[in-house]
Amino acid sequence: MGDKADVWQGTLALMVLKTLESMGELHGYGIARRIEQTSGDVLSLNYGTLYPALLKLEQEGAIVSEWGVSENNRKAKFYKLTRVGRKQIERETTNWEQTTAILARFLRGTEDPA
Amino acid sequence: MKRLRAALKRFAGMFSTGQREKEFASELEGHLQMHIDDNVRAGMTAEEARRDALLKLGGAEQTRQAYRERGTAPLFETLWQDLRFALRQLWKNPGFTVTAVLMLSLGMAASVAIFAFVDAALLKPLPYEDPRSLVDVTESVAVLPHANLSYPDYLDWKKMNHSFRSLDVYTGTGYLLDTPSGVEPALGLRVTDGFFRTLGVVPLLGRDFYSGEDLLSAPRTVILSYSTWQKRFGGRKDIVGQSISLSGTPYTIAGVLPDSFEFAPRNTVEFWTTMHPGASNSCDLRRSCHGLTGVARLKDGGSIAAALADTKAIAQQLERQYPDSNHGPGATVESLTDAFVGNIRPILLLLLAGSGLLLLIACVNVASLLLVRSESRRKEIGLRRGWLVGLP
Repeated sequence: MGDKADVWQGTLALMVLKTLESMGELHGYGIARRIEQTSGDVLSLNYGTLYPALLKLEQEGAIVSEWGVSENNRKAKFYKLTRVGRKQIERETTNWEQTTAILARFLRGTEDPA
Repeated sequence: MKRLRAALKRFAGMFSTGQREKEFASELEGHLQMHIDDNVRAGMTAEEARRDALLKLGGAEQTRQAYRERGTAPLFETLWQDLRFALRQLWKNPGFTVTAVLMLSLGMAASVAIFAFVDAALLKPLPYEDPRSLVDVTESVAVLPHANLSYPDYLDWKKMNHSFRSLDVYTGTGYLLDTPSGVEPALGLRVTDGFFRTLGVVPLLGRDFYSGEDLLSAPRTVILSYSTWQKRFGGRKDIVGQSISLSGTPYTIAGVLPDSFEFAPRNTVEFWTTMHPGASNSCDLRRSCHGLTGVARLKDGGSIAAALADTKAIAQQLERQYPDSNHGPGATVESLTDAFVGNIRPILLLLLAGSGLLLLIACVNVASLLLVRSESRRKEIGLRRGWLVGLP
């Protein structure tokens, strides 16, 4: 548990959105499990932190929610991506790719100061 | 856009807290159930499964708290609480409330009233086209910087100057008006033909004075002020072209000025007529009889200083030409705004500063009242604090 990485501020929203993009409609618990799986169980995610993040995305119009029934017959709220959400994915993906590319260059630079 | 939308939702969320929390409770319940189901399926006991699910969640109460904070706008919520508390306190202390409200409203009312004057006189431009190129033009003598022009001098100034795109003059007059309730006096202003064109004012109804309509030979016409049109003629549209009698002389109504038109030095003028020099008195014909004030529009790019030098030179030339009538030649040219507002600028600024100070004093007074009240509320605050930490 102690070796697992914490979720960085601001990345959770993108993980949620990407999960919904690939899975379609999904409930909160499902999203949490899926994020853990996708990260190869390296991330330690407090499931509770997911819900305020979902609420924020819903307030921003990136997702919508609807009550439904889960695969094993539990009442659950299902979240779905909106058009605004898809745009947000595009935008944030580009941002992250740029950030990581820049950071990667720095990291390489310190290893090889040629 | 996205943030605004979220902020609005959160603000709205303040009013549906109960509904949202109930919904979240069942969402959380479903989440835990699904997690427990999975755990049991993976081989845990019911007890272990539940504990693990809560652990992974990070605590049910913490989750609810975080959700609640995201759902509303906490800042606004506490603000709203404070506001309600303040209102309750004010309601319970009417004496304090009345004193504070009176003091503050007095301070604010004085400031607002004075500012309205300052705004009208100093900040707003005059209601004419490009008011910055309009100037007030008069002769000047040693004892009087604003000495009126005589009509013959005006004609020479108009002809000889190189600074003005147009130069016109006006002078006050009075008319007797036949009304159903008897004869009434009414103020008039005699102007030269281009007066309204110089100001850049177009009549609301009818037409402006024609060029040459101010000469003695021209038929007599009059332009009404808006309020006169409304008050004396019932705002009738067919008024243009009709004839009225001013001091027994028939005038044809040429037009009506717009409601927005103002002419600060003579704002109560009802009838705007043309000069017709020499018709009613011989003053207009004499070079030594000074009764006119000039208003001019500078040529593009012309400065007031250049116009002043120009008119002074003309005045000197006229003195040489007419030594009998023109003594102590001089001229005054200043911006029309300065001529209208004149020397009240420092007084107004002083008043504004005074009213600002009054407001400041009112605020200080209310602040010290609050200080006194907080002293007398010490016990109550102590009690509230004790209550907060759970003391009896």
